[in-house]
Amino acid sequence: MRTLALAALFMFATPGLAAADVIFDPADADELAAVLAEATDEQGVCYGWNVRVDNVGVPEDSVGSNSGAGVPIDSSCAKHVELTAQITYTSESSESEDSASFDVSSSPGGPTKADLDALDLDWDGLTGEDPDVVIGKAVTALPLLAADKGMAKPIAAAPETGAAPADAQLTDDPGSDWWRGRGGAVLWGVGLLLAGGLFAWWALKVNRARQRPRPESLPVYVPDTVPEDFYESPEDPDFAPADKPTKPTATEPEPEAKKPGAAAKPEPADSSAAGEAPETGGPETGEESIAADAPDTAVHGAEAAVAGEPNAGKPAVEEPAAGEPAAVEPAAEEPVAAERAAAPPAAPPPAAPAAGVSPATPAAGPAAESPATQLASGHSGSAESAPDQPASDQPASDQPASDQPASDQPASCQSGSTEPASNQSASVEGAPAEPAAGAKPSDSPSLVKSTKDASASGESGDTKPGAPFDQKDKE
Amino acid sequence: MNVRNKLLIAGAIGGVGLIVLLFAIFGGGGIRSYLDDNFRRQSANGNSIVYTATAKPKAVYEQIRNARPPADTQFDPSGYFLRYSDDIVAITANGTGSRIYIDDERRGYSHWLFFVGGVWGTGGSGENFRGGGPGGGK
Repeated sequence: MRTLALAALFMFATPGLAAADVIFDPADADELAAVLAEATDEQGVCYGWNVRVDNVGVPEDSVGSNSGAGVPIDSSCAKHVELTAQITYTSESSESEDSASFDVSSSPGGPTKADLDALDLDWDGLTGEDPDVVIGKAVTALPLLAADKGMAKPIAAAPETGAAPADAQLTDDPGSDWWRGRGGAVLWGVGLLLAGGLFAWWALKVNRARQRPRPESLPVYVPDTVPEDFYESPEDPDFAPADKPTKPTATEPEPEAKKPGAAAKPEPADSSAAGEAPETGGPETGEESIAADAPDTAVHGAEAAVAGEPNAGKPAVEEPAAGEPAAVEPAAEEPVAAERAAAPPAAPPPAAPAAGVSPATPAAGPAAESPATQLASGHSGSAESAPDQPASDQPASDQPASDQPASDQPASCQSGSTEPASNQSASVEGAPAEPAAGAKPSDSPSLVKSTKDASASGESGDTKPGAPFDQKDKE
Repeated sequence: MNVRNKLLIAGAIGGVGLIVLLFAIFGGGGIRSYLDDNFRRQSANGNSIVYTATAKPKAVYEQIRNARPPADTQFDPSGYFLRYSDDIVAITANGTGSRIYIDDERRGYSHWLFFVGGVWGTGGSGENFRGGGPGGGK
């Protein structure tokens, strides 16, 4: 109250001293000067302020000190502390933003800008609507900083013990201390919780989406046999042998070649195997006797010799002989496999005449005469013939009892070097004879196609599925 | 990264968030408990308590302000004044150390009316620095 009274008296006594100020109202400037004067009296340090305002190119100054508003700091003071600031206001049309800076100039040992920064004043307010609030606080704090730096003795405030005026009441709402102090932490905590929950939800959603079976992935394998309606009719003049879909199948790697033999329609495959013995035994008695001597080797040897690889476990050439349309499906590939098996021997001479007679002979012949092919066929037979010829797959009506145990004995396939090959050649030779003898080639699209291929390649075989591929491979 | 690792990461994030949230809700206390825990009580009169500290007023002010941010601060050559929702804290010099006053808002306002009057409420002499500068800013 003492200061208030002094300030009021100072204001009313010397109203002319409050010069026009660009920052402060005249009364505020005078009161601020009075506060500094009181501090100077107690500390012996001169205080003041000097603010340069560039108001859209028009410079104006706000100056004051303990000597009064509008009065610069006394240069004769041994100890002095002054706040200097620069505020630049730009025009509305200018792209530059308003800017401000401040500094503290003092005698040695006095406060610095860093000390004023430590008070955490809102310096952004210098370019705001009320720069006088910021500058007033900063100037008022100069005596505190001087005392803290040891430049002057501190001034101790004492609370008023008297009754407060009746009109003295708090008016503004400071807000919640809890929210002010912990609101940031609460927001961070909630945000992290939500982030974790969302991340977990996303992870589970993605996982469920992956576990959900896809309709297009239902087929476990890609059938290597083309549907019947895929092929054009034999009468179609546009049907070109070069468009045979079996070529890619023949060039497929072995793992994929296993799929059709192992999974594609086991019934037809086995039916072909089942029909193998009757076919071989039917038309040609010599082959039948061989098969009768070693039924298992006959079956496995046929597979090995024809295929030369695991995929060829099913003698496809015999499938037409069985007269089952489904059994003909593998025929498109098996000749290819047989071709691959027979390719290394490079078509031995004994096979050539047989090829003219039987479509399977080119495949079986080399296998029978080439030791390498025999070994390969025997190996493949041991590895694949057993799984390729499940006994259960063989129809009871077509399957002789002697064929089923044959497929379950891979050892005989491995051991049988020449005999299985001969059996194979016999069985394969016997198979095409049946289509030629009246088996329905039109029932089998692949057979028809191979027939066209054979004719296109200039070979006689109506029933030679492997000939076109042999030609291609040879080429 | 399989779903298990993703769930572990999500759990870690959520766990950190939960810890931060619990700490924010239950950790610490108000300005009064902070002063009780960190400064020596010198005297008390109802809700008006006086503490002492060996540090200078400026250091004490920074410590309290960082620990419990006030709603507003006022400076005077004789002390620092901090406004809280229910309390007013004044930090003044006490020899080489400091003296810390805490009052409820009504009593504090009357005690320190000369320094904060007119700024935080009506009455008193602190009608200065209420704004009204050049107003040329954007």
